[in-house]
Amino acid sequence: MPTKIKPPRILFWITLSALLVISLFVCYSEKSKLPPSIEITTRNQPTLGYNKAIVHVVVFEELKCSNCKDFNSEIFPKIKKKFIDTNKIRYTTIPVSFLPGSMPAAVATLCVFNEKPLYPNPELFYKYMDYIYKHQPSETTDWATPERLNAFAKATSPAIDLEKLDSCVQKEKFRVQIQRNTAYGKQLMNGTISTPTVYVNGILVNEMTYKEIKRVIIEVLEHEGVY
Amino acid sequence: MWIKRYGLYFSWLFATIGTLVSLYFSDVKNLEPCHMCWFQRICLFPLVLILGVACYRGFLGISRYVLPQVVIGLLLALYQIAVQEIPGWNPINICGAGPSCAKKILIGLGPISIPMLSAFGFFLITIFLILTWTKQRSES
Repeated sequence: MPTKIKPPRILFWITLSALLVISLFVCYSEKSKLPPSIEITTRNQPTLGYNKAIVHVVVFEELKCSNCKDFNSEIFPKIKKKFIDTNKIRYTTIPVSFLPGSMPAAVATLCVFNEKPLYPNPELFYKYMDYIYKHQPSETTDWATPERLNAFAKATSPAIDLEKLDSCVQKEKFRVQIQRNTAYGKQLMNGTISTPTVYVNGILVNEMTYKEIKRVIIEVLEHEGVY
Repeated sequence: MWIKRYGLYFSWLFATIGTLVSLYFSDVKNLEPCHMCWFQRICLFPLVLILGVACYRGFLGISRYVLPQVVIGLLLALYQIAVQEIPGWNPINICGAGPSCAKKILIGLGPISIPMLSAFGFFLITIFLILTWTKQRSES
């Protein structure tokens, strides 16, 4: 019969197994590679979590941006519960200011953080920032006045020295640092800064959902062998 | 002659390699396939099973059944190469919403693009199927 031949069956099976092995190998070796990362310096920035943690999450935040508000109310508590409180990661916030009128708010958070210059207080910083986000007025209003920031601080915690805060905000003591942060963020993000922006060990997280951030954190933890 | 015994085997092999490379780009490299790419995949993926079974059973007559879809795949790939390489030439926009078909994505192989790989694969499959077909016809 001309349409039938003795088929090369052994060769067929050998090829099939070879292709299977190669595919599995490629999948495995690609899975163990991490996406490209950048170097980020976080000296003197408010940081939470175990200070020797291998995985370091860095977030750029703008006090007036409403996406940052959502990030802090929806996503941050979950990250805190799952990764920070369990000493899996270090978590740093780099406050920036590029929306009109947000500078006093950004300065105020650093004033609270550095109230005692030798003993910066990240817990208080995060508490204050959380309160500001929870009561954040609309992005279009010019709400970040020294009076408003003082009232927010008063409601946040009695631990904040309101007089010190007021003079610190009036003097814009941390304006230069905020400007430096903003310029730094711009440089890292290739010219256009956007917030919130999350980096996990320098790897940019592309989608601002808890699911995606968690996925990248776990990927890096697994890569470092600490998950 | 060897082509009679191994023609189907090689066409199956290239179809399978093509499928794996295509899946590598979409699922390992996370490049989302454009519409044109999907049409070419529709022509390519079934060949793995159809040619695989035919190769295993030694059914040379399969060439005439699958050649139409292989040639369609080849033409689609050639068309997409033209769209990507000739600036401003895009007579029918098949792409619609989704990833651009006209944008050439570099894959680390110099000027070689994904539709070029596709065309090359379809071309090899076509050659082996036609050889199998003519060989079988000349003998019957």
